[in-house]
Amino acid sequence: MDSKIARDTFEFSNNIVTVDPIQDQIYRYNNDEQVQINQEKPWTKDIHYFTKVKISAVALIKMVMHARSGGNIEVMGLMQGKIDGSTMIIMDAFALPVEGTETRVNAQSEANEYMVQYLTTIRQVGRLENIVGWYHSHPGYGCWLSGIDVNTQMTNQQYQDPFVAVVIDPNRTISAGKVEIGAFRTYPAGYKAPDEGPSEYQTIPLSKIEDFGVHCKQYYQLEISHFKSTLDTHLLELLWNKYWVNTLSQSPLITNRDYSAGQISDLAEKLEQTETQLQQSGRVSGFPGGMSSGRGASAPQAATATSSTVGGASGGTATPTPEKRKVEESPLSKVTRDSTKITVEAAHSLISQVLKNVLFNKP
Amino acid sequence: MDNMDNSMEITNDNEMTVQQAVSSVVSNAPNNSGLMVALHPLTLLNISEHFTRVRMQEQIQSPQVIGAMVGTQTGREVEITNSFELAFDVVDGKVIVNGEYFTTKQEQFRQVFPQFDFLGWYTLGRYPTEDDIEIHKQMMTWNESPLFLQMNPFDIVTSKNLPITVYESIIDLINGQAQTMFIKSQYKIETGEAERIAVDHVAHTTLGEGGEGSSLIAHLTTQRNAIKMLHTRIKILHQYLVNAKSDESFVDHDVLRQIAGLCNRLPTIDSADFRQEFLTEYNDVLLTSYLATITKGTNCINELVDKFNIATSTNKPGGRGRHQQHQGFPNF
Repeated sequence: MDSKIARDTFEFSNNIVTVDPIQDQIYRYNNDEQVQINQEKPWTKDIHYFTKVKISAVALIKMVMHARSGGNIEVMGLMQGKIDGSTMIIMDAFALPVEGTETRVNAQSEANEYMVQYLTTIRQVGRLENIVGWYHSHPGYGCWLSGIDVNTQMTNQQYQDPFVAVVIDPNRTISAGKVEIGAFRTYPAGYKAPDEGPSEYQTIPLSKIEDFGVHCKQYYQLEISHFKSTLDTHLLELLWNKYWVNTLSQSPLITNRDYSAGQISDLAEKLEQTETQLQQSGRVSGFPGGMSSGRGASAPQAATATSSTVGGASGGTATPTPEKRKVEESPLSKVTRDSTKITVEAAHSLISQVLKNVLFNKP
Repeated sequence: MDNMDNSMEITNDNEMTVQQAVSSVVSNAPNNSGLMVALHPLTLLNISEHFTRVRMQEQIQSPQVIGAMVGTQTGREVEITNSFELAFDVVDGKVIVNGEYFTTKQEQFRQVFPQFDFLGWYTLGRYPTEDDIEIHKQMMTWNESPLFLQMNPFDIVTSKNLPITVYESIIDLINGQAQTMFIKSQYKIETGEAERIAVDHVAHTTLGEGGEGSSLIAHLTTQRNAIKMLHTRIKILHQYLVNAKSDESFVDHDVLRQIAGLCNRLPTIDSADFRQEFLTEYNDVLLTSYLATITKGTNCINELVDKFNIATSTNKPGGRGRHQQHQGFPNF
């Protein structure tokens, strides 16, 4: 009895609550507020209206696990949530029974029946939020929107706004040790985005790079942050006591063998391509004026643009136009970046292996 | 403030009745069914989110929360991977689970995750009560021996262990009558690689994303934390051994045997094959880094050549056209 009194006093005086009404306010769904926001539609007036996305802990884990369970096949699902100013809040996610979403635009409509049924059922247990976006996976080739994705998202934004597209790469997540996720919204057709400069560079396999380059200007990325409830925080702290074992025991080097092998072969192809490009331009003079046509037509990041970028490397740096502050890269430096990335990830995993070896094998 | 007072009073009242309920519903017999339950963190987070959500929506202090757990079972190994909420109605003070909802939801789940079966159900509370037995019986229509998981969100702050208890049901003969009772079950936490990373990410991200120096630092920090945990535990064991030797603490032979077994297992693997594999792996990574360094070096030289060319060729501005001879570095 004494210990109980002591504990209650402790809790009382430290005001520890399991559910903090202020921090967990986000879990409260206010229907009237949402209806009003949906009627006002402030996003129709400003294309860049939504800038941030907040994803709940549960939604994130569900999406990552679903993406991983698909292996090398793309999977997709929908996300439920609400709007708060210029932030889209994602409370939960659920998977859809469709596969191979990268080959057709209408994958989403196949799951319509499932979706409608799911929504009616879930309302019965108190999850009242609406669908605010969709997610899908790009196993091994990075977080960006492909041509088909851009089309799907543009249709979504036309008929179901507010809507956001989230992409997850489960292979990269494991190999890098942190979650690879990106949130995007498309611009309406024909809108020319202000030259913002290249966003964080991504390694993209050769087979997909053309798709990426053609469409990368048609959408913009939103900033992602996460949130969790107070109870979640407590649980996670306690969970750490149990799963630290897994942190040590899991070895990404072995689990991701296929992926790393794929990366290296892709790197090899890129190197070959770079070599041919450099050879070609090596014969032609690298004079600043010589390849200016190529420089002018510079679409950023499109490594398939041949000698323009090489010419750009030598010419562009000499006379940079004031607006285009972005540095154009030669394909060789891109390849360098790719190879560095692969190495860094492999080195990390090796470090874990060595650590384990030292801990458990040495006498 | 008021909430805290209320909850304290409620618990004081319940303490009395609950004490009796504990013994009537939970059997103290040792559990020798040999069932190994592996629990995924996703399930726990689902439950906690369910609780928080209902709590915030309906603004009641201790909402009744019921849900189902799904996963896979192979022989004696049970793996609980996911969970979802269940709809229920309260009829005459008794909780009746909505069977229709359950079947629809399970159908949906099957479409996306065909390999998961219904394994049990969960609710919140301190100790199982008679009502839980009732609900448990309803669950038995879908699975002959469902598991019952109870999460205790109220004591969570002060306890070091996870406030989760998993129970199995057994039929016990009490006073000549067959009665269903609960028995505590052992469980452990299991994660897949992707799950671990996601959980880690969420757990250690504060509201204001702290920028990191480099990915190497982040990686090493996680490893260091894990090793720190290992180290603390080993220290405790060591301390216990020292104490036992100097007769300060009680000598428990079972524990000593386990410790001896643990020490005998080191070194963990030391065969020639392992060395071979390990060194091959090591060399592969070294090769990759060699390749990257060479590429980087080539890139630097390339840039140097280009810059040199520009630097020397700007001596002769314009006018000469394309046929101007290139001075400077010869192109290979």
